[in-house]
Amino acid sequence: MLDVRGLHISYGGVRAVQGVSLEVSTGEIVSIIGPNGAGKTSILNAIAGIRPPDRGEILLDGRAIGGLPAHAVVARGVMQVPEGRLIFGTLSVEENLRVGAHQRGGFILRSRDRSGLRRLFPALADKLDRPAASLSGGEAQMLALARGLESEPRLLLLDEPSLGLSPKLTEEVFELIRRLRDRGLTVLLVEQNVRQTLALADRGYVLESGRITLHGAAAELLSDERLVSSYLGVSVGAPSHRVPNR
Amino acid sequence: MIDFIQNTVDGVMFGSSYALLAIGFTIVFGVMRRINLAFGASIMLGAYVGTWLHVHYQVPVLVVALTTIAGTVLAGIYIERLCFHAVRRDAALASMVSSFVIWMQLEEASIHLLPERTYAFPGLFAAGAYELGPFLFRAEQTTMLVVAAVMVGVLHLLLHRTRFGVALRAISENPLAAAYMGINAAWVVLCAFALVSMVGGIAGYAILATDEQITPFFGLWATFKGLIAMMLGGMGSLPGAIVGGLLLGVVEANALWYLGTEYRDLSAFLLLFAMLVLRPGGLMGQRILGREELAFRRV
Repeated sequence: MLDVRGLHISYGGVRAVQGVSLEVSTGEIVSIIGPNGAGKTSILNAIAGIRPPDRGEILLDGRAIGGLPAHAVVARGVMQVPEGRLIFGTLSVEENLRVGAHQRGGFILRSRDRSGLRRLFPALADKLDRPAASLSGGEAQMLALARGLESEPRLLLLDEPSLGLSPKLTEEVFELIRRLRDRGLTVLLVEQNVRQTLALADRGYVLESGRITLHGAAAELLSDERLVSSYLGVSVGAPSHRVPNR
Repeated sequence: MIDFIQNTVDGVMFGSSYALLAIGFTIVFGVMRRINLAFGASIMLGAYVGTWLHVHYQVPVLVVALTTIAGTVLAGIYIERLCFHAVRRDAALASMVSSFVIWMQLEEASIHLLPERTYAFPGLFAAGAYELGPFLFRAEQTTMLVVAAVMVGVLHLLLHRTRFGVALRAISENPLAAAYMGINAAWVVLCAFALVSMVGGIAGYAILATDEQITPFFGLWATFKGLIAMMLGGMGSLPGAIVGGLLLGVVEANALWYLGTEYRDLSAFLLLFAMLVLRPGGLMGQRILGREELAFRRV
């Protein structure tokens, strides 16, 4: 479904991503793991059209989408749930969902059946009229996911969905991603939380300093000596105290 | 006491037109974090085109009203393309200066269109007055109040019950998050400019019909009143623009009655000065300040 070839991205002379290639097939959960600053978010932002790449190709179903503006990429069925959630605190929960569904539906907003939401996000369904700023961290992440799904994407780009969440909430979010995949959604997941991510994903890419250093089936990566010793060991159990980047 | 109440009623009535002008500034500021100084001049250009048609071709009054509104919308789109769309998002000062330049340009254009200084401006309804107990109401001012109330209601529905409105509010809270959601901000902002220009054009027509004349100072006047009303209420706040406009109207009406004509504008400036010193965020500013912090935290 998604084919990224030779992606280069730099910020003011600093090379963030240097020749990254990766593939995502329909129905897969593919993860990009790597330390902070490895260039994971830059790759997602390039795919989503937030910041065009300097060089390289991004193909969606064989068609080039690299360099298209974000709204055109969303129109092709790709939705990113950004790092730090970026929910609209001054808008109600319902209005946040409406923003996610911006490219669907008519000019006048009509009341919508929320039974589907209630099944996947029961905590949100009871708080539709609350301002989103009043939600807890876990609820805010659920809202960010629900809002992204409102666009009915074929490919969901998830940027650090476990950021700032307790291990228990992280497990809930990951379980939700698994259920979404089972319903036919394709997911490209960026995470620092290596062990849980690889337990969830079908395949994984390890990104270090803007380069893919390792890739393969998630189960293989989990048992890889090099990954475990150099990187995984540092990261296990760490995420609970991390706060969103400012 | 009766004088005071009469003044307050009058103040609320023409204050409602200040509120509409302030809405034009506050929506643009809320979305772009920039001030469109050329707003008053764009209304003036629209009104001048309408007057020009009336003077030279004796078109019906309704055509003058519609031309005023359409001309303001076109001028608003012109301003958006030149001063806001073309200028980079982080260069707020550049777009403010360029909107000042466009102000001068629109004013020049208006004066070239109608080179004499003052023209009669035709109203849709005959001027008149009616009494209610000890109070006197001017018909055209009552019309203005009704028009303002209807437009505030329509704007509220637009912002809360339409896809466009929710998208606009999303952009004004966090442009980056709105981009992730697939909102084409350039298009939404252009529509927002057209919308506030329409509101401005309607307000401008109602004000000029009440004054029954138009002069080249109208652009300056409209920008001043709108800006002051917005600052009083709190920048970027829609309820603030309404409260600020009405407050300005009431203070001016009482200054006019108790102190004399020359104190009308002076009292407005004094009021603004006092507000900026005592409560820099404006009456509804507290919430805006909170929102600003919220936005920064989330970006």
